[in-house]
Amino acid sequence: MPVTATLTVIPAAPAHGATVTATYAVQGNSPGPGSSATISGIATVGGQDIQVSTTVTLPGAPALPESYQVPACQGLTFTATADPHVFTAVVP
Amino acid sequence: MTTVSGQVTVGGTVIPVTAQVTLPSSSYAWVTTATSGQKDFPYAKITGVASTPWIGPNVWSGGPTYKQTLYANSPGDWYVSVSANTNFGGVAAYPNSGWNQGKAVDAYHSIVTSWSVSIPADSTKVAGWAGYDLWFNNWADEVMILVDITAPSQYNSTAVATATFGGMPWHLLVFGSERVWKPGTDDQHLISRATGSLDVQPFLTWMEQHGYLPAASTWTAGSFGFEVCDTHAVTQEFRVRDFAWAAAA
Repeated sequence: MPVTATLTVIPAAPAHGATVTATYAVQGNSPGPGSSATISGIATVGGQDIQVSTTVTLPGAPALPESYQVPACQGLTFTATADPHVFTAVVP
Repeated sequence: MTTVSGQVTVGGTVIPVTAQVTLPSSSYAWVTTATSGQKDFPYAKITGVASTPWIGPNVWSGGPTYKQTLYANSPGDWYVSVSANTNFGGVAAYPNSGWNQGKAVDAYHSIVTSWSVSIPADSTKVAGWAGYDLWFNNWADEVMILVDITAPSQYNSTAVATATFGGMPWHLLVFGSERVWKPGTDDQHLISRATGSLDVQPFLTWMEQHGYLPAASTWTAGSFGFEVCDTHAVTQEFRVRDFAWAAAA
């Protein structure tokens, strides 16, 4: 699945003095699916080999790291918030 | 509609994104990110001067990390939104309202001025101050009177003189041809004021009498604004809420 991103700004038509919130969202950057693996071994009992095996589910690839640029807009100065996806600006 | 643009980096891949927002029409007559230029703002509370007052961004340093937007309605209603990252460097900009003055210093009985400003208060991250920048003798002599100061101790200097004007102590620092008055007895005891008033004339008379300004000096220009050095890359606001200047000859 391709990785995509969106930027949402609310409110869409702010008034003077209002705080505008810009939020990034990333789609498709999920951890990969787990995979099944077989672990085999041999136990020797009284000189006789006994083949044994078991299966485990290995974790998938982790999600890729993400970073977010401060949004730019003529007339608005965005600053970071505690949430790295989210930036705010006050409409002058 | 105005475009908000940004980008997300996912595992080294850059994804540009945009959104749209409808901003209200600006409540400021002039909004600019320019570093130079000026715009005239006729203003009834600046009197006894030789020109129409103007406002200008006046950015001359700070490198590419210095970003400033000026919002101006009048010399009594303007501000700059600034992000600077200079590691407490020198003055990068002096956004100001200015005017030509144009008479002999001794021609004035009084020059009463008042201000109301707001500047960031955290001196661990911000170096900037509000004040007057006054020029004399065809730009040969500069006198600053600072009124509200936010700066860490590395900006402190040793005063060459102290004096009392309007019942308040002031100290004078000299940097080449620039003379700077700061409020308080020395840099360790500043008396910053976001709102106040003073008479400029006694400062200048005292300076002529004590050799810090040539006798019989002639005014060239005056201004009031903010010298900005650093905000540690955080956007900060330096705002003039009210201003008046009455030069009485």
